[in-house]
Amino acid sequence: MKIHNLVTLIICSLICFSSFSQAKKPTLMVVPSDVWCNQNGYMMEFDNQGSTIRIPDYKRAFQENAEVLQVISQINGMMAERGFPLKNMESAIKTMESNAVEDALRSSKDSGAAVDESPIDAIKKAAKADIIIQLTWTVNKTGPKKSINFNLQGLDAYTDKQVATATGTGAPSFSAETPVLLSEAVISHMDNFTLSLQNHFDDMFENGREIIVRIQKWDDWDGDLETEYDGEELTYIIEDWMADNTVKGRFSTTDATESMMLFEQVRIPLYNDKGRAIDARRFVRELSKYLNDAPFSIPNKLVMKGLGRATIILGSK
Amino acid sequence: MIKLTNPIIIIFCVCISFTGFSQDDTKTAEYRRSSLYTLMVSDSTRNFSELIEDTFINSKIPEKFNNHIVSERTVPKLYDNTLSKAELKEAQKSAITEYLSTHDIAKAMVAKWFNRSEQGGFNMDLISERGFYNATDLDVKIAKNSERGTAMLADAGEELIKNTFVIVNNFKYTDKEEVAQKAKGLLSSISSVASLAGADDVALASDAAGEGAEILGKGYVIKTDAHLYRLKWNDEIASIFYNDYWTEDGQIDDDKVKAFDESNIFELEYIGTQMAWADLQSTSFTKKTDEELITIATIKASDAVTAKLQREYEVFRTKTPLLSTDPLSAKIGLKEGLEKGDKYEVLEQVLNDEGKTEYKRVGVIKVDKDHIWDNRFNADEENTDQSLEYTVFSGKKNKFYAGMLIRQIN
Amino acid sequence: MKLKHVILSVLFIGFCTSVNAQWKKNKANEDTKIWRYDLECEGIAKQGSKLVKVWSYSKNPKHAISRGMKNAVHGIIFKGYAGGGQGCTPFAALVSDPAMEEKHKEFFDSFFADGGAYLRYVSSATDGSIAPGDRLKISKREYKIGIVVNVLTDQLRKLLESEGIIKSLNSGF
Repeated sequence: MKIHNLVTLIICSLICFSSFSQAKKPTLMVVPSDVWCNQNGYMMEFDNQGSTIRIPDYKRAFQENAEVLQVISQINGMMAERGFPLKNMESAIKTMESNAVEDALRSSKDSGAAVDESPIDAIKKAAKADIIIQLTWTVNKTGPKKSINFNLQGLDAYTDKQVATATGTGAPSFSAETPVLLSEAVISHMDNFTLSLQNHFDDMFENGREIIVRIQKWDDWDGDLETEYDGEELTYIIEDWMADNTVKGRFSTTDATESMMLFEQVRIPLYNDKGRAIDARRFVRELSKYLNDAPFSIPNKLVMKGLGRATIILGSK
Repeated sequence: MIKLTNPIIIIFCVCISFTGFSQDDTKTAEYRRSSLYTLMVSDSTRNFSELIEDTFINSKIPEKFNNHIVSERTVPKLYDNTLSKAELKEAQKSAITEYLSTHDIAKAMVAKWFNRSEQGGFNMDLISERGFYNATDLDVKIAKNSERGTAMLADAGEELIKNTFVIVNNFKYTDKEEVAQKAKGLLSSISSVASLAGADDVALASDAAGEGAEILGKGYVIKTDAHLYRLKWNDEIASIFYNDYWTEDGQIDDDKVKAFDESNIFELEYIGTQMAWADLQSTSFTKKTDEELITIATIKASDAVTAKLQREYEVFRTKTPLLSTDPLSAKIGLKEGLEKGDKYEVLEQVLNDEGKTEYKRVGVIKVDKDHIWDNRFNADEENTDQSLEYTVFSGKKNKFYAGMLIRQIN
Repeated sequence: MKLKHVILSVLFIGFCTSVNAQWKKNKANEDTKIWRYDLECEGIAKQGSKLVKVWSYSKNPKHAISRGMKNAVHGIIFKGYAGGGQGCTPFAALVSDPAMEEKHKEFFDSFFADGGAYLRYVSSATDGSIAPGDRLKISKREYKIGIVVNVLTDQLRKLLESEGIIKSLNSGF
């Protein structure tokens, strides 16, 4: 079994290194940040079972703010020049809208608990973006002089980790119009942004994609994570599986108790042994199957949150 | 066999060396147009005082400066018989400084820079305009290659506020005939006009001899003491101005208008005093009236003292790189106040042993009389009629390289 | 006898100038060979290019000017620059691995040859004029001269990508 895994891993990495062209190109999308939406008044209020919540109103922002369109299309142009055309957020919003309102409030089959989905999660899902480029800028004013404080953050949709960044304040001007200053900001920061993105890709090719895996148990399950199988505690069995299946055995056990385990920085290969691209769900399903099969025979449920957070709940489906 | 005396070979072997003299100068090579406000001490007790005043008020600020005249052109004269000449001179200087301060001249100059309206609103129009006008050909080219474009040139106008100056002239009129008459018989040596003019009082010019009066003939000497002040403008003051006083027409903030009116952060710094004079000979052949002579002398004295201040204070001096050596040319012209025959020294920037930059003079060139570039238009506007795009100088071409700095001497 | 002198002199001068010309050219190349220059950001250029001031060192000030362009292209490829005034952000060299210069020696030798392809990626921003203060004699026999040029960085990066010297952002996907 172990040897088989090792072989898989070797083949896998060989594929990674020898045939780059096979990998699925990550999808990128620029999204104005919550801070920007708030500062520019593009928020809407929702009544969520009695309590008022404020969420960004992206649709209105795109309809009313010419500057955000200018900045996004300029970033888009520069990324396309690098061979990375971006996903258009406006069309993602339309997709999201057609996905029916029922998506906003969903409930789990078993527990009936409400699952909140933030608008950004909904968009990520609709756009299937791997990396969200969060965009923020503020116009600083001192007397007649304006300067632009610009911030681009590339967030990995799987882990919400910042994987690329570029930020800074431009030279002040009293004569140039805001669109010119914004254009300056984009031009001056995109090289550094793509550079850090390149570093992230390099790291991904070498060390795999990062996800988060959580193991939980249903309250009514009679076993727990300290239950032994062939003299080995379940926690160690799961850790061993992780070590065998992650790229270069990379993961870290952040928390482990009798009722839950949390694995972070879990590096999963980009492809399986068939050379097919795999994502967090596919990867964790293997663990789910492993635990479901003999000798453990633990029925479990796999729940995904976002693209890169998987939870296995032990005890029932 | 070749004779060693073959002239061609000799010429070929001659080494030409030139030496320059070092100048202790570490100032920046950047030249920016200065803005100038000139005033004069009004002395109604003196002869022709009205004429001198009129002449002064009607004369133009030299082309190489931005005209920054605010309102008043005269400062009252200090009279005090109890003081000695030297003391009076010092007291007059203090009185001028005091006058400029109590009359909020510095604040008025800032208000002019920012085009303050009657309501108290500011705008950047004048600063943009002067920024464009100050821009050199090189600045324009670089700006056109940048994303911000020519807006960069307007933005740079703000840098010019630092170069705002006030010159207060204290003119003194002397009738040569009178001086000579008074001095007649006292001494036999002939004095130079310079010492005559430089003297503080007519009575002191006792070395002017009797014959001198006949030799010097009729004429007038106008002498002027010019006091130079600079507007204090730094990041701190600018920051207070923009944050606490800035308000615009259309959305006037009365508190800010009031804050500016009551502000006392703006000041003029005394830089120094220079003296110059001009004398005009009037002989029996001259057809000019006394009035005409005095007018000419006043202008001449004022110009001479400005020139002297320029020599003395680096920030005033026009500097620019040589554009080419064949012909010897540079991108300066009428905008910088160039006149035929103006002399420029050609400097080489040298890094000295201490790692500091200093200038070494490698030669002198002169403005060619037929080839002065008229660059008096805004850099952002297209100049349609342009036959000459640089000013040509005369001088030894082979000694210089393009890019060497040239600096006005006279 | 006189005619002989004249002929000899003419021959001598001819020889000298041709030797001199060759020597001058070599001299200029020598200055570039060790790639001694400094690169500074001169402002935010239009999209796809960089506006830089390149300081070149040379015994002959004329060489420093003509070599500035070559140095600027070399600088964008191998050196990069730190930020600076006028809102400049730091720029990382297009080629991050310095060993690449040696590895692709043949390409770079012909690219940087006199009149080579590098000229397509650089232009003077000032029509060749030098700003005041940018021409400095740093020792008895050496000058440091700064010129402002515009380098087409996007085009240059694409060239290097197509030559396989650097990989593109989407390589591997």
